[in-house]
Amino acid sequence: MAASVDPLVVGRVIGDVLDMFIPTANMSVYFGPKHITNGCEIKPSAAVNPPRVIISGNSNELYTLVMTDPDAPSPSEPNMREWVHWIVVDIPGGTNPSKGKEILQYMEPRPPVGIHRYIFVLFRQNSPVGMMVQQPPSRANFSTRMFAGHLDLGLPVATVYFNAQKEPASRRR
Amino acid sequence: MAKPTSPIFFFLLVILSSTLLSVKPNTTIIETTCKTTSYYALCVSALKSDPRSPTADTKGLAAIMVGVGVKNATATATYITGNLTSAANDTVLKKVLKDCSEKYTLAADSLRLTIQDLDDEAYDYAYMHVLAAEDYPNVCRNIFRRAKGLVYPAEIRRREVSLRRICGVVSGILDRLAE
Repeated sequence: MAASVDPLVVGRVIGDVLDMFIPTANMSVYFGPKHITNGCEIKPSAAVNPPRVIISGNSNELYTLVMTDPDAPSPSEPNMREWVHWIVVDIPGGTNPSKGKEILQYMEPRPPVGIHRYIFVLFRQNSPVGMMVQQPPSRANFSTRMFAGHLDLGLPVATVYFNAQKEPASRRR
Repeated sequence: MAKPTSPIFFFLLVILSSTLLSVKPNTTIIETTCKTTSYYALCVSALKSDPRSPTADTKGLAAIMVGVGVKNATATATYITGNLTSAANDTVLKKVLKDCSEKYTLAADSLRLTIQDLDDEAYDYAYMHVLAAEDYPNVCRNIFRRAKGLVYPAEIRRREVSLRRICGVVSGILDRLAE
């Protein structure tokens, strides 16, 4: 159990964004054919569209997915931590975010400086939250912890993160 | 031999030298700056119509372009609010228009922060603020799409694209500044 969150501790995902938790669900994230494993590098040009996310669980369970960047605008000076990229709630277990309610639409990673961590956090909900949750007014200075607190989501049930940095000009859109 | 050909020779020499003299010595800073953006024509026309541009450096040109964005976003917010009265009894449409107008106001605010960031030469902050400004019009579009029975108006779509392109130009100029 501790071993499976070790990369999150080493990568300071636990600490900077999340508290220690025990994973009790499975979440698989893919950008195209590439399966995301903790700390892997993804090119921003490969992440222009939302990833495919498959979550475990029963269809009578509801999940919330948050994608967040704690390293905005730069890892050395993350004064905009966190920059929230995607929020989907009320995702039935065993399905994917397209079956949930998208509170904040996906915004692709565009790190201006340095290597940023992009973290997917999955929570198991106690009840439907779609009607209660408001879209954050700004993507900057988001707090996954506080967001989870407001919706009584408890600790995460799964998390995975990737790294991305700005591509040289010729590779960008 | 020399006499009959010399007028032609002289004529050709005049044409050749006038061609050489009309070649511009350098392309302007505006043109080189705009070449690195995704919307060269928009960039050049927006910058050339500002009186401060000829004497501005790259940072100054970025600020001018951001100002264009502020005006554009503010005008759209005002336009959308202006449509509220014609929404009459349609409460869903009224709410959507109000939310959309707010998003464009937030976009303008974000771009104002960008001008401050440019002053501070905090280009990564500037970049993120422009990203935010660029994102707000998407939010408005999604609000329309999610509302039942509403069509996303073509005029708002036109303005969405316009602001996004202006922000794209600013991002391109910021890339140059950050190098």
